[in-house]
Amino acid sequence: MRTNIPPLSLGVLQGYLCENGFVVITHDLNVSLARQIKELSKEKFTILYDKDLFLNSIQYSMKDQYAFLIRNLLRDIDFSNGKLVGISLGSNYSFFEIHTGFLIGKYLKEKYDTTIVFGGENVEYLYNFRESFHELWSVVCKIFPYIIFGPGEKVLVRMADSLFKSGKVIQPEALPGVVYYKGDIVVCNTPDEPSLTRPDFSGLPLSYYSTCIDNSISDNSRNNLNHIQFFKWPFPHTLRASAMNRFCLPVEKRKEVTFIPYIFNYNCPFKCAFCVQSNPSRHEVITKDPENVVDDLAIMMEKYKSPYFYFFNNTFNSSPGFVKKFHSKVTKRKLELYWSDCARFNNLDENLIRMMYESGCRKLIFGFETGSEKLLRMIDKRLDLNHAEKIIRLCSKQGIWVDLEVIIGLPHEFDEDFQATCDFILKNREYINTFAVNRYFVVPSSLIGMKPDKFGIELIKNRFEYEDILKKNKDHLLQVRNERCEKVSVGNFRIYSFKEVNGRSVEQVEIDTDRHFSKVMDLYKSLSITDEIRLCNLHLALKRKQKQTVIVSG
Amino acid sequence: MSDMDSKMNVENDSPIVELFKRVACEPEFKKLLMENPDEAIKEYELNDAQIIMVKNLSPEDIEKLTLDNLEEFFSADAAVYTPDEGEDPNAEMYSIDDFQE
Repeated sequence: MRTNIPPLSLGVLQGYLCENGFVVITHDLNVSLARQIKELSKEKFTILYDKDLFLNSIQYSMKDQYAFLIRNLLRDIDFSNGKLVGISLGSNYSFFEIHTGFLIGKYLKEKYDTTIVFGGENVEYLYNFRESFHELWSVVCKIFPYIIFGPGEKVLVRMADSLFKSGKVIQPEALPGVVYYKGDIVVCNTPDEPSLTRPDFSGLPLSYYSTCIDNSISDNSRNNLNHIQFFKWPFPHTLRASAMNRFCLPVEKRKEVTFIPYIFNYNCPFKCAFCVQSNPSRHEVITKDPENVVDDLAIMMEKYKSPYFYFFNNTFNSSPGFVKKFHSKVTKRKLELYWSDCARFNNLDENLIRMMYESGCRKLIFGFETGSEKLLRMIDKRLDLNHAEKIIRLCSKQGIWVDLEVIIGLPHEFDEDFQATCDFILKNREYINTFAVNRYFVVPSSLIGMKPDKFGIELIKNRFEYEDILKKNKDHLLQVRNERCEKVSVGNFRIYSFKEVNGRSVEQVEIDTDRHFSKVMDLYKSLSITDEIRLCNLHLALKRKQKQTVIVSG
Repeated sequence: MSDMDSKMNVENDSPIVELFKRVACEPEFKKLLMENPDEAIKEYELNDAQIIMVKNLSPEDIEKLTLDNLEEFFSADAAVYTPDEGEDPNAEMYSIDDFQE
């Protein structure tokens, strides 16, 4: 899918490698793919979901159908001097990316005998559900010794150092985060700590990711339409907004800018039981010093000629001290930047909110999850709903838009618990910009996944086999409609589900969750932001060329 | 209707929908919106972003509005996105060739 920001993970990898003196060439294959999708029909890519063909091609020699696709994808890249190639398997549970990534690795290994390192968020997904994907792991681990879970930039530097200085490859089991077989079991070394490096997007086609804004707007208040379109509106509506500007504004008002992704803290101080951060083996919070953060921001503003940032931290307000120091540095240097990020309600007050606004914050996304006190206690959210309400209103009053993350389908979420969530949203509707609805799924490495009995549930593992998941991915690509004429949804598949001990069955949980999901989507549609986005769609639709209709009469 | 249903019974037509239905059905109102948008929208509770975007519609755009195309253009479903549903592989790339100058 088209994105409106350069790939942050590639920027971090490149940034760290360059800092350590290596020459790096980075390619975002989504750009090549965008071209290929136009040249080839989608059906040509469906072979990516043929499990046996894929596994066979990885384990033995690559089949011609794959070689054709991969050669096309890589045709503009010269690998002849590449001693070490890193390949991201992507994110968002996409088997398109996972299988393509492995096939690229196989192709390069066969053609150039180069050392291949795999990484990306999907490694974590595949590892977390390794029982479901044991067939995949048993093949790829045989062929590819370097598959890395977690941050990979330091691993790449270690490997590059060793390769270029002594010509030796490091034994994979010695590396942090590497996934491998120990006897019959897939295991993973403790992931590395991130480097907190400034991302470097040099060499990437920034025009592909650019956003079209209205250059005639100078107002910095809430009425700034650029801020509305690109901070207030969530992705992917930002793509529509950019298209709207590109095609509806007069030429002299259009300006292409880069919205810059940046991350400077990792890991969460809280251990909410549904979240992967609740795993006891997770590292503690790692945060870059605010002075260095602001240095990075100033450098990137100058380099990419843009004041716009999307931060991807666990929580911007990791401490009040961070917020204050950040504010002090930004205002002292008179940097005029704008940003959005995730945040927690817990340590915020009116003063910190004002500081965040003054240092450029235009939107905050809060992990609200549920309005049920019972469920908040169960997941150990440590959230005071009265305080949350106060913070939402203060943010809104200050000029910071507030988005909430909502989870539907937690264990023991009955009608009254769901109603509590809806009541909270309804009560604060005037101050909430929008909310994202996430259907709960069991993360094996979360506290709920690791100790289900403590949460009064039993896990049902491996509800979907690898082949089922591939079929769903394929259907999604082809936009097959199911018998209810809905698009087959992909996403995380909820590979593990649960039943409640002495309570609801798996099926009843699903029925109740479907019902709640449907109701909360009605609530979502009633927010005023929905009408703004409808207006954007209207602008685009009205500008579209009328389709010519030819009537032939006999 | 259950308690939950009645609490969730928010208005079916928002002010924006009401406004555009009127534009599509009443030629006089359509003309007013083209000539004096502030006057046309004053009785509707629109937020700042909505006001800006309504006023950004050109007279030519407004002229094209009919009840038929309004239903297609103004679908609330098209304004909805949930992370759970994954990415839409058919997401439009918005080629410039599709749009009028």
